[in-house]
Amino acid sequence: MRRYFRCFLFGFFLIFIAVPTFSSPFSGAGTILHDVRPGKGITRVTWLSEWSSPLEGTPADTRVFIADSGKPGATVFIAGGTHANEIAGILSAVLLIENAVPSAGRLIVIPDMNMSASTWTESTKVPSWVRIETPNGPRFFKYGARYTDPVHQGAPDPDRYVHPKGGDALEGSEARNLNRVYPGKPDGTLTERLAWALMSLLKQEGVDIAFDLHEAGPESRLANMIVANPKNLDLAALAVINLEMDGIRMKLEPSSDAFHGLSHREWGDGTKAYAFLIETPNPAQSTENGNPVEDPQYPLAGRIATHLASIGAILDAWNMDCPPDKRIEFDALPDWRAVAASGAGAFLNW
Amino acid sequence: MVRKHRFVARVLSVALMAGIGVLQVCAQGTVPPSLQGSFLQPGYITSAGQTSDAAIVKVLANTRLKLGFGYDIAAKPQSIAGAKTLVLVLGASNKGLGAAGLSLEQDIERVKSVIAEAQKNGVRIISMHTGGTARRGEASNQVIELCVPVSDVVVVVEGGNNDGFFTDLCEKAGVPLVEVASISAAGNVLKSLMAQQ
Ligand SMILES: [Zn+2]
Repeated sequence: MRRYFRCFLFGFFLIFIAVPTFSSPFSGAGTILHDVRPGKGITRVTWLSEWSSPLEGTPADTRVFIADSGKPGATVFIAGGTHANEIAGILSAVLLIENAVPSAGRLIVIPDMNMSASTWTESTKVPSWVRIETPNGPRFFKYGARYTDPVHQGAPDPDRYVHPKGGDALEGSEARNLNRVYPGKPDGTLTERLAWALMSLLKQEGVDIAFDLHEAGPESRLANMIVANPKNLDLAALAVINLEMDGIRMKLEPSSDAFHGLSHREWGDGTKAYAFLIETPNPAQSTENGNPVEDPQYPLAGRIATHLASIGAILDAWNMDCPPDKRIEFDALPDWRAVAASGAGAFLNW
Repeated sequence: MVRKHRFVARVLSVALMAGIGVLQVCAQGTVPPSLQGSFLQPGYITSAGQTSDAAIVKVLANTRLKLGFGYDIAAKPQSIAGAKTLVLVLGASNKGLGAAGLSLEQDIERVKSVIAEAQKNGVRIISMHTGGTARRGEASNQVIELCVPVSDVVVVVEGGNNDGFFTDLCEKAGVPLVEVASISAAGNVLKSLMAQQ
């Protein structure tokens, strides 16, 4: 009887633990099901591999949330979590999924763009989960890493990383930085496959306006900046002027011609989308002891408000000038002033 | 309440400045009457240092205020042919210089040649600095020192003159300085400088 039990245990181990763990490094077992609770605007939830099959079953496949008004209009894409430690971008994307209801056009949101990066944490000091209080109890969001997990990448880091289009030789680990490898390749490293899949989505869905939400250390040149592909610099300039009137000061930079692989550069150059990257200041990215949520000077809610306000200002500028059948309009949108005043928790669903 | 204090502080500081004879520095956002409506169309905008603030000033002037200015962030002397007002947007940006394929030295040479062309043809010059502290520093100071003394008026958005750099330069060169609180206020100043059509 005991021997049977041992056999049973061994069989159990083989089937449920050993085989899934060791049979394929890309089994998807290493990823997280992030807590995202779609609001009534979301009409479909799918996976990014729908647009590029080489991503299927890998730890970089990620959920795509689509809010389609069913009426003609612009297709707007928003990515959070390109760098999984840049939590204000992730929360901004989540708030849109949980609240936005478009009335013209379509919104496509990926809140956790690099799923492999959200499986690990580079620092030992920052929390690996961020707790947000809501009227219905706490919600938890993963505070991940900047880079794809080396275990998932499928290739060792090169000595130096040089983008296929040229440019400076960067640290080898930059090969695992999603925001250095666009447009990627279908048969490349995991990070390159991820980049390729997103480029495929942008093209196949005819995305008109695309946002990549980031954060940087408060002392960084990038903090509170909109980076725009040169083809849509004027739209960003108009947004910067309007944001300033609302008390939000954003700097503006065009994508560099010499620095390849960044979203605002390659999305804008390789697809018809107007491409923007938005950066807010995250204290935990400049010092080990920085608090990514409750810093008195740079609270998370304020940073989320900056992202939402910037997106709103750019979409307003788009609507001012676009053909009538290309507008993007909303019946409901999380109000950035209310987010800044009441915190993100008030906008998170049950 | 805070606003009221700031207003009082402003009035006091202006009175103080007037008292010690710094008459060139205008009260926040006010354009000296002699300059109002004194700049003629057509206007032309370029950068000095390839700052993307030039794109902001262009959108401010053309999209918001419908001034219809010409624009090239890297204008050459021939670009300003026919212009009666030249707007120089001050600030050195490595990204901008890289995008234009110019070194700072090359861009300074370009700006010198545009200024020379303007002076040859009696084109009056408005210098604008809208980038705040982010567009200050060694490289930006070089283009500011080049442009301020040849300007007919200088407009600076809050933050850009925290260290009094513009105040000193304008005083030395006898150029009126208009400080404003925001980019959109700088737009209002620009509009009031231009002659009504
Ligand atoms: Zn980032």
